[in-house]
Amino acid sequence: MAEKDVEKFGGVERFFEEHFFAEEPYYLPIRDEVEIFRAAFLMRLPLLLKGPTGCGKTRFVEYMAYTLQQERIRQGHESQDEVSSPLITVACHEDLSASDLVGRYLLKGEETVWIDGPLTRAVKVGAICYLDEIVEARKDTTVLIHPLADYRRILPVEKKGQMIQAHENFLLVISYNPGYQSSLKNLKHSTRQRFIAIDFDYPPREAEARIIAHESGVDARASEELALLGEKVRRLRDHGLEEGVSTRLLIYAGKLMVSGIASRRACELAVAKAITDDHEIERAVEEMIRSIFEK
Amino acid sequence: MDKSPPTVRLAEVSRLLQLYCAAATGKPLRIRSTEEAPREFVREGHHLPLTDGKTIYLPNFIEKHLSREENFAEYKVYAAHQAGYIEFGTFELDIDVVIDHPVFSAFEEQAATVDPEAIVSHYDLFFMLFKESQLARDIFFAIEDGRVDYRLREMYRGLAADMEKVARASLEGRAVAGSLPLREALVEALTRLSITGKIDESFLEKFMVVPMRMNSHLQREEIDESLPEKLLPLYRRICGLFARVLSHSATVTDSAVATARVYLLLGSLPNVSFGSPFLDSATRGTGHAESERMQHGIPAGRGVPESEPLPYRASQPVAFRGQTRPELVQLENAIELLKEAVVTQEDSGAALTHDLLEMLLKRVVKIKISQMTAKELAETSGLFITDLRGVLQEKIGELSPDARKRLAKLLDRASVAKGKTEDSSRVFFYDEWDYLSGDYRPRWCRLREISLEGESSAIVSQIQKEQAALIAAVRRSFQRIRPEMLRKVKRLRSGEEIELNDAIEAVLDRRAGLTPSERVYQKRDRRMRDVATVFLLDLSASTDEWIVEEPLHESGGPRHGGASRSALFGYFSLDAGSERAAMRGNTPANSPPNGATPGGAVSSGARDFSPPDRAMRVIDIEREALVVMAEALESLGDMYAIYGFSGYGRENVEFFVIKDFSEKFSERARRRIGAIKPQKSTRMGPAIRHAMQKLVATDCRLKALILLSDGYPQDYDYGPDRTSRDYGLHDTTVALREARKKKVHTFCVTVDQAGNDYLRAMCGGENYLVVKRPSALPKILPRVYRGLTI
Repeated sequence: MAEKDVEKFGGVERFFEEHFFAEEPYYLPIRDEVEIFRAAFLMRLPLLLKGPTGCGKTRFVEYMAYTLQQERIRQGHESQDEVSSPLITVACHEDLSASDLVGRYLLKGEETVWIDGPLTRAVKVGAICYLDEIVEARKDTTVLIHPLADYRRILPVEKKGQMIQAHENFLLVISYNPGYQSSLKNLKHSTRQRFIAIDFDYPPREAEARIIAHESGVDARASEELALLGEKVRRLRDHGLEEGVSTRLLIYAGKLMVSGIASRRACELAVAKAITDDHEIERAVEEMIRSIFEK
Repeated sequence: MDKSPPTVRLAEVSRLLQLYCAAATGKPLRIRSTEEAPREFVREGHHLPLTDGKTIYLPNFIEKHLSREENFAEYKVYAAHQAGYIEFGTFELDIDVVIDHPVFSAFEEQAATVDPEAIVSHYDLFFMLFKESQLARDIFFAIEDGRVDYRLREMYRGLAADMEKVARASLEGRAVAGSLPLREALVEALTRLSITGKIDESFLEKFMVVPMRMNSHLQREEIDESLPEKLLPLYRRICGLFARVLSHSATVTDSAVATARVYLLLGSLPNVSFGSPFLDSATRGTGHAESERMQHGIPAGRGVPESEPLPYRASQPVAFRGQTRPELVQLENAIELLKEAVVTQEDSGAALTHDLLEMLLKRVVKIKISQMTAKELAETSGLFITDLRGVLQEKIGELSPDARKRLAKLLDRASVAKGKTEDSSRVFFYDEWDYLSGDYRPRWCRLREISLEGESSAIVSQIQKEQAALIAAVRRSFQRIRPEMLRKVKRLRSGEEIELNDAIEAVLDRRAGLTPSERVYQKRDRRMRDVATVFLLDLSASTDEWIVEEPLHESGGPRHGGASRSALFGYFSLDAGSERAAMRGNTPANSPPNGATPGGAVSSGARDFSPPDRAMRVIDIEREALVVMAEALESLGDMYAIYGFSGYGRENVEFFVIKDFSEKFSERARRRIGAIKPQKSTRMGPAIRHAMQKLVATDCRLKALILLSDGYPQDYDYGPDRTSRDYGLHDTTVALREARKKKVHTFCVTVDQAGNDYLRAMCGGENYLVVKRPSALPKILPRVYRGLTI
């Protein structure tokens, strides 16, 4: 595929988990999280973002990574032409091991080749490393980040017998959803006490309406109705719904509406059916949709 | 399209509406039939919906319309309106805020006559400000209901269409405003206005410019054409006052203020029929009232002399708005708060502070305690409360006689009301299986949930001490459950995928000339524990019996074969001797009856058997087993609840909450375990069904119900033939089957040595165990649990 086509249609082949941004990611600050992130970055304090799925944690990190890099470019610390990736994200899962993060030897022909893992790359190039859903990862990985997350800022690479001193722009950010994890899967205190924590929740109705309007392109009234639906449905969290509807899903509903699907139907598909398999809850959500939307 | 009959029953839609209301209000509201509503709330009969702030009561069925959709929409509008009270703050009326409004200076005289001792809620006080409190009530509800509906229509544009239909229909059958005496007519006109909620420029204009239509057709939808022209200026002012609460920012306080204003307007009018000379003077009109009335075909009054003021008659209720009584709701809420405060105080063991006390008194009842009293109460800080009422009574002695009297009264009232709420809000109805007719008897059993309260947890502490070794052993065994379930298994000869690191190592080894390991596969064997278990405890009178264990050589006889041969619990078939030896080793206090009755001299079932020191009854063993279990479960982190049940007759099934899922194994729960004692009969069916409800509500992946009993189910009216066990056994069998259908693992543990006779059928196969030696129950129960939940 020609380079042009790649840019146009996507499908770019990049290094695993690296992110570049063509334009500023949209983020609507809710409280003082932007200032706190900036201060934390200045002081190189690792950050823990707490909050439910789809409430904007990843987008926030993208926005901050982009903004901070742009500032460095403006100040001449980094050149416009050869920017490195400002952000490397890793979605943690239950089998994520230390070597998945740090790197491993692979066989290539008759010899072994060392391949850096995403964390090592971030430490080397000075990117923000975002470990999403950290509690899902295996315990050995959480211990691995300890020396990176305190004053030492070093990454031990056990297999190579090396220690890497982190690049000055490196910042460790982890996220964690306290909602659905059972008590067996809490962050260890030795881990969590290395981070300053920012609480995230779904944005308040007015802010969420603006976000939905921006991201999906629906009109003001529909975005307000979607935000209202979000607020109402989230209240079912105590009644058998595992997670409230995410802002992300509300945006999907908005996008369906923009593309011509009737409001009620769009919400039914993107909200009611998406968030639950419980028939009664689904029906209750549908009734709420019928109450809020006229058609 | 839909061939099913159009009637919608509450039972079909109650969970749906419950979820809907929870989403709308953010509060865990329940939906129940109006027939279950507390009696003091129901003023207008069972067809009108209402709420007590925690539950919304709706009619049993709706069949007004020809289609199910419309009937359901009607239900939805009912529920939405009641939920709207909560959503839009109707119950948050604060008399202190209201009374500060200048309009209430007109009510000072009446306020002065209010007896402070009669006051129990903000609403009570509010309505007492009005001499004609019924008039004030009617005005208030017309306005406040109108406000709530306005907010509903504004927020839920989709619902607005349904509301409109229901509202229109509810206008039918209402009295024509013009047919009523003056005040009632204007209240009716206001109510109609509030029902349709249509108030706009053109509407107001119509009444300013266009006089009464000359033709006499009274169109019901056109709300108040029946009002005589001379009343229109007054009516317009009322409309204007009402219009003010139709706004996004209006609160219940605004409704209260508008009520006072409308009341003052109406108060200036006598309640006479149209045509009375009073009308002319009162409205300063030109005096064609009588002829106009004739012209317009307005019916005359009630056939009393027209100039006499008539007593005010309450406005006709609006069906879809129901009969909620905010004064009682406020009281209930306050009592709920009081209970909560007492519980949290108790759990934390914190001192009762002055602030808290003041808050309690303020929120419970609206009563002005003098500065002096407040100061004295301030000095009570530092008290540890276990019983707020008790402490207060103690403190009452130190108060001034006057304040003492008021406090005592207030607390009495609170506790009476508290008793009421407990009675009404914790009653559940369950069907019962009648095997004789092969069908359920609907709502046959009335189950009351009782929160067992205990005096001391000393028994539990003692058991903890005595059984320390067993508890430690069980804990260790439970802790082993955790890691082995969490780990992904590696270094396998075969598995789901190749473990990369091991594979590379193997290749390197081969290169280096070493023998590579073949164990390069891994397998996921990862299950999170997501377990909820109910321990359902038989507290029947027979658990009072002393345990008499048969001598060793008799145990393990043919009668006791049964469950212990089941594959799952194979290891229970340890020979009883070694089991008991182990028990002895751990807990010498555990098998006293054996020691005391050598050679089995006393036969089982000896009611008059007088126990030796430290002998144990069935209930003591049950208690001991529960303590061991609870301790072990705390370390495992699984969810569990402990309930007991007993009762007498189908109307009186008692369900004791010893520890709920949401509770910790707190001091309070320990006291409750200490307090369990033998009660009455054993009606297992409803208890199982109720426990099931609770279990299902936990939403855990693995649910288990462990029934601990000492005999077959029986109750004096458990089936037509008192001497026959069959009815009860069938009902219990069906209840357990219902549980298994809901994917709940059921298991019965009994100390009834005759259990094998009926348990296999009752428990559906091998889900039961007859404990040969009751004293071994504490040791066996954890194993049962382990077997069930792994």
